[in-house]
Amino acid sequence: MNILGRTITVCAVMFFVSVPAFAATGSLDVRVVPFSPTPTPSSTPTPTASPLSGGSVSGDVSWSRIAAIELNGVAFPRATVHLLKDGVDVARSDADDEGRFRIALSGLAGGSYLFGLTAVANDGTRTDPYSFVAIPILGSTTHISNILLPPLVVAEDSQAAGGTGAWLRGWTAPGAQIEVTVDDGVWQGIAFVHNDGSYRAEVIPNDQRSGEHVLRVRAIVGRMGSPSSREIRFVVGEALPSVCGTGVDTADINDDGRVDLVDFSILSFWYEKPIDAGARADLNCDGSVTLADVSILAFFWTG
Amino acid sequence: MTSSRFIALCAGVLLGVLLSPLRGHAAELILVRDGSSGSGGVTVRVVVKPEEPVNALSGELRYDPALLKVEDVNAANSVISLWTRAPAENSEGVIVFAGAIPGGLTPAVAVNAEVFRVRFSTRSAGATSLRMSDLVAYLHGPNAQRDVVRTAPLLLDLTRPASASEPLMLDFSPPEPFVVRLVKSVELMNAASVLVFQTADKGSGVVSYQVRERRFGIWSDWREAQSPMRISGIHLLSAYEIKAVDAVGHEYIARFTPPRLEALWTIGASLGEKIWHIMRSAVRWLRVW
Repeated sequence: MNILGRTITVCAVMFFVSVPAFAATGSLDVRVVPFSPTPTPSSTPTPTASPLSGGSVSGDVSWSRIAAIELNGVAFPRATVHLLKDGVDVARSDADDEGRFRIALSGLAGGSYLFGLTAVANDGTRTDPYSFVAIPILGSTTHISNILLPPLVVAEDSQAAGGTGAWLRGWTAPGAQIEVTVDDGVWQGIAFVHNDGSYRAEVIPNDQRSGEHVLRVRAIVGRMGSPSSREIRFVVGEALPSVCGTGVDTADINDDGRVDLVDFSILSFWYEKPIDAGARADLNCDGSVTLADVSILAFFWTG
Repeated sequence: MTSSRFIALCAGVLLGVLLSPLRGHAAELILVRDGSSGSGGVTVRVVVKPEEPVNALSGELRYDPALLKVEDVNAANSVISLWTRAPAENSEGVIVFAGAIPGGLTPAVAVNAEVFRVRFSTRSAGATSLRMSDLVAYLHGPNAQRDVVRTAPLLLDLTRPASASEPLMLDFSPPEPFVVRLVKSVELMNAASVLVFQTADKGSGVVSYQVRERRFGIWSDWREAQSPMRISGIHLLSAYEIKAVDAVGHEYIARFTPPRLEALWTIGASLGEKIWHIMRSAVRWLRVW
């Protein structure tokens, strides 16, 4: 939205990285396996904002003093990209066959906003949120471009007993590379992405050191890199014990398929109050509802 | 204020910084004196500079109540949108806060994001410092991992007593639109009917929520409300309005109609339309006849 005919372009949300031809700085074996995902019907990118209805405004309000924001970037082909404003899902847009998306939101008051972008695949899996703070300027449209969302990553049987490594699959921008970092950089490696944006890789520490390992992945396109994904834990040689508060199902307290204000309301109701053993609001099972539980909720937030 | 006392304070702060542990930290909380606060009083912004992705913060801001008095605490432009304890004066000299950032805050895209701001009036002249304590940050991860927060005190040299004048407040917009949701969960108030709502106002901040109920077409008076709000039960002919009011008086009213009532209205409207058509057809037929 361009109210006063002024347009401001911000290209600051970029992550420049230097990418070696094959960055194997440790003993990590990354094998890329052909992956043929089920194609989904493509749709024309149509940026839409979902206005809320059923409300009214009173008071002395000047509606000319509003701002807008337009975001351009790359997710993965045919993703549905959701825009969260201060944690509330306010708009969505479909990415094209190259993974490009454009999403706009108008009617913003002046001030500081925490925006989040997340791309959802047709099977409901989603990328980690890409969060940034922006201060839209009143009467103008703020453009933010060159956004590269983190890759969608799904771990397959990463916690199976007797496993030797982690199988990863997911989606990212076609032509991108997937950088895998294990145990905070002890091992690094790069997997390549197919033309349709899919990838699949097995991560095996060559020394077969038994125990738990942690890996993160991120996408690299040219000199641009995405933020890293969330931690993915996998085990070599032994099974992981069951741990509280490590899944999105845990954070979805009311089982409505979303982690949102309702779940936060339940947490805030029980916050620092005595709670029954086994109550679902105690996400990390430490016997009380504290900021730690709220942190877990914020991590799995879908809005 | 004596200059020797101020120098001693500075030396103490410098020593504290030098002796602080050199290990990495998840975030830094910085106290910034706002130069635009105008004459009288002091406005201090608490901003967060993450070094690692973080998603929850808590702590205390301590000040000397003999020299400073809190006039206003404002979190309208906070990066935290899920407050478990909104910043407020807990006891004299201590402002506590705790909350979370959905989706987390990453270092590369968050430069000095505001957590909240405090407007003080000065009771008397003197040297003082504001400092943060009991700071906790949680890394943005599935396991709620605590990490270190770095901070440094803010030195203030108060030259004269001054009451904080009301700041110039430019707020052109009402609170943001929001929806009211009805929740029934065994995890919340023994599966009672509960209304859940929240919104934000970037101009001056939401100062209150009010609710009123309509039964049999008659609205009750507005009364204070807080989410989550237990309601006595969803009646067939009841509806609710939740009003968010910001600091300058702008309002946004969200309506909530129970699904059963909505269905009743739809059926009623449909039946009414059909009866109207039948009556019109009958009148035409009678005229022709």
